[in-house]
Amino acid sequence: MMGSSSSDSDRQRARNNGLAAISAITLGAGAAGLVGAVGMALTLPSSTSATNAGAAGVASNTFTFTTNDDSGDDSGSQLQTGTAPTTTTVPPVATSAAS
Amino acid sequence: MSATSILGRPTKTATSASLHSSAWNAIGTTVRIVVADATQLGSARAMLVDDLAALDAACSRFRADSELMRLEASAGKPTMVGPLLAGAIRAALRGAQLTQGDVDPTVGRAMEAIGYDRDFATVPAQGGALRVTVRHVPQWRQIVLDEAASLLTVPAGVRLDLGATVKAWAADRSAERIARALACGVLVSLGGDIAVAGDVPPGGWSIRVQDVAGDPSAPDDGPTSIIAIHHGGLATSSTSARRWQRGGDVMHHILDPRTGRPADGLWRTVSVAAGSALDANIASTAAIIRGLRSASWLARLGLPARLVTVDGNVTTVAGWPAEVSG
Repeated sequence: MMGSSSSDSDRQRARNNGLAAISAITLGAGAAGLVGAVGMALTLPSSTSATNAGAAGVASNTFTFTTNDDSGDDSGSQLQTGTAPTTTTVPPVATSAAS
Repeated sequence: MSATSILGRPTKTATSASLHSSAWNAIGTTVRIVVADATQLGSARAMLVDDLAALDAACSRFRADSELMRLEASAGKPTMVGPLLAGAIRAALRGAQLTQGDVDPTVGRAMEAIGYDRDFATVPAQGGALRVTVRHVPQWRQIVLDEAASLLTVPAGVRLDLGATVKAWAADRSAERIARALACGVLVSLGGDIAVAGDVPPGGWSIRVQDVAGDPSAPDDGPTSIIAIHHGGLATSSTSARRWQRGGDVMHHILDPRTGRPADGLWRTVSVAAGSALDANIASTAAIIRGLRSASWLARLGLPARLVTVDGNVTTVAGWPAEVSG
């Protein structure tokens, strides 16, 4: 059988870290509103971008993601990566969505 | 999946100068096949129809006569299984292992407890309040698959639900089989889990990505991205579809195995491109359940992804094209 490299307590710790990060973002968003949304810190991996669907152009980032909120989580490392999708102007032949 | 798995009239359309498609409903979802050679469309469609009929007979939890449901009579004893069910179980266990149990095939009873106990088309949209006991569901480590002996052991009382991974796994399998047999480029979409194989059309396979399924030629429905993939697979998991209410509470089909309740996270829709539709689906489903930490998780793994928050904000990671709106 397949094993696991992480205990339940490790996972719980990771979840608690995530909850703490959510709280921090909530507080951060409130504070940003109070001071005019100036200088909201962003910690994004170099390969990460963020857009806001309601804004024109590539919008400013709305969320903060920290690279250590899943510290100790080595899950998924065997998931097979492929080439990144590319932009296209060709009409789509299929839809990827929930159904 | 449904006993009457082939539903509706198939449509046959020329999707572009060089690509041709057929769409219909089966296994309780939308099915589409696209080929680069118009003369092969009929054969490709027939092969996929056969594949899905066999899949339904092996893996449906909504058919009392399916191989999956007949397993329950084994009451925890090792039972001989066919190669199709064995492959589907192996795919589900891969999902559980690689996500540390966030995608777990032993949620069948929990799924029934919240009302998803039949083909979704017949699940009542409204219903009375449910008495649901929150419990720690993951039991996937208790499943033993001895592939050499074709023996599967499932603990007594555990009901498997392969719905999280089986469509993507089947899309990979059929796309490869059809491309090899017909020697042409093939795209297979099963409920939005998409696998491509064979020759790549010029510019790649153009795919629209959004919350809820629709014909690719229909108007956009919510935040939408049109991208091209060249190899492997693309999957989208979303809480925007397969929703129902019990006692005023909204239910959906993506369960957190640690609570047995519908995942209640930051993201409503996550799309991932990967080396296979199966791995894309494992990652997209886990991302819905994991919530906030999913974006950094996917970025660290190098899995290109598009994540949509419950209020419609879009984030892209790991090389997924950034979206330009307005």
